[in-house]
Amino acid sequence: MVTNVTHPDTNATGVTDKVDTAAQIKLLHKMFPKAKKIGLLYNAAEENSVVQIKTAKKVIKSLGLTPVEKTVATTNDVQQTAAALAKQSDAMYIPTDNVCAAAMNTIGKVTESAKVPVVTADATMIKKAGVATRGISYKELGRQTAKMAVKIIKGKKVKDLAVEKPAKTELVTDAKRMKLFNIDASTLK
Amino acid sequence: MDIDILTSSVAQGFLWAIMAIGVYLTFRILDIADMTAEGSFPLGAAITAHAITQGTNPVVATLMGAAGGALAGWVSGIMTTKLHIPDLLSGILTMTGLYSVNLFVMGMANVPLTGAMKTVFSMISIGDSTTTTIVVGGVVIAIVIILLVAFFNTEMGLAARAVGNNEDMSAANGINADAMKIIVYMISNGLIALSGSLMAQTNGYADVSMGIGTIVIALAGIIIAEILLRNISFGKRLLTIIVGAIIYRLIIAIVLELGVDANALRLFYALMLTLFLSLPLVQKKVGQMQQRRKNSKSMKEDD
Repeated sequence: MVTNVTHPDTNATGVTDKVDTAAQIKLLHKMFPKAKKIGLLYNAAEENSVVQIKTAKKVIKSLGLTPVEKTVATTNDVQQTAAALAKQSDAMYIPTDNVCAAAMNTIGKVTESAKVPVVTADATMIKKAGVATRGISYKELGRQTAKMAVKIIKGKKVKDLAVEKPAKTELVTDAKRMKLFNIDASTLK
Repeated sequence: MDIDILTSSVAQGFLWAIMAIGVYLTFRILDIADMTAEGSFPLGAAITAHAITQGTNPVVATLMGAAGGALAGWVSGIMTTKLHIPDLLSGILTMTGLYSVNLFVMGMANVPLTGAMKTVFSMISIGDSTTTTIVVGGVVIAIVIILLVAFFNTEMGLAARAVGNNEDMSAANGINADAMKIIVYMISNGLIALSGSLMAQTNGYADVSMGIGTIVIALAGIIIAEILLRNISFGKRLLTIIVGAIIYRLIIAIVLELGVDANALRLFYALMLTLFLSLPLVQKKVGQMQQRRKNSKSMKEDD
């Protein structure tokens, strides 16, 4: 929709809901500093996931940790693949991936029985399988976008309004899993 | 760690074996390639998941799912026998229509079953989830096999097997071939839906796309079973299909343990499966070579 992010050249601008993969990986590392092997599960046919995994791998390596990847093509693959990945990693990160989202309950069951913590890129998936993540509040996103719309109404040109990242991210946690892995939410603020 | 792989393969194998047995009934007994499977598998899951979220007793919900599959089988059966649509096409048509039916039943593309909802697996709690799955799956498959062997040895069951073997001869002997076909279609898809229903309960969700690729999984189990032991009785064949399904899961689990490049996983499944399936041929050739050597040795000694 927009080819130039800082000076939108098509007649459209706004706020992106692109996930901040780096911040989420860093959160994972902060919560589980002893986790050396970080498991990554995704569907290689989804370009969106491939991009996030690429970023995740870069951040994981920069923190001195080792990424372990496995792919799933359909939801039927998830049970065995997630189980194998849980055995081969100390913590897992799941990008916003459609196949993983559909099978998130299975990922939750498998990782809970293997006692491997999961950080999901999508905040709505935390209650199914994750411990905590830095998520986007779509309500805040709406507010931020509305403020940009007000600027346009007041006369600012579209090409002068760069596409914005979400100004506020919120820490979304699952109480049960935070307790299971002994994480204190107050240390994460 | 190795026991882990074996037990989880057995657990998954039991559940997929129910579907493999269902596919076997149409594939080998009737000699029909029935694609309805990819629609009836998620149908069973959809009906059961929806029922469970409404608070229905999980056993009743599971039976409802199986019944839905039988109905789907009936539809395909009617299309093949009464409307004279080629069997492969009938299956595809039913499968295509079922996509919409599944969406309608679920109300959305994915129905999650939360931990609080009762499933057939949460009703019994033995050890960890793998053990529970093995027990429940084992009980269901034992019941299925006993009922199938009993049925296919009754007059009606034998008539159905006859239709698959030689339709013209069966009709000449007064068997209603169409009716027999429809019955097998219904039993087959009922079992496939049962498998989908159990899969949804153990996985914790029903998804409209969960049928895709399942016929390959079922056929793999059947082919492995046939490669292991050829020409055996019906009941024993059903038992080997369970072994075939477990072996298929085991091969996948082994490849996953190897830690190959993530994108090369499926290539390795195919390679390992090919290797495994060619073992009987290798065995035969080695046996022949040994026999030849023995023969030429004894011939030299005769001179």
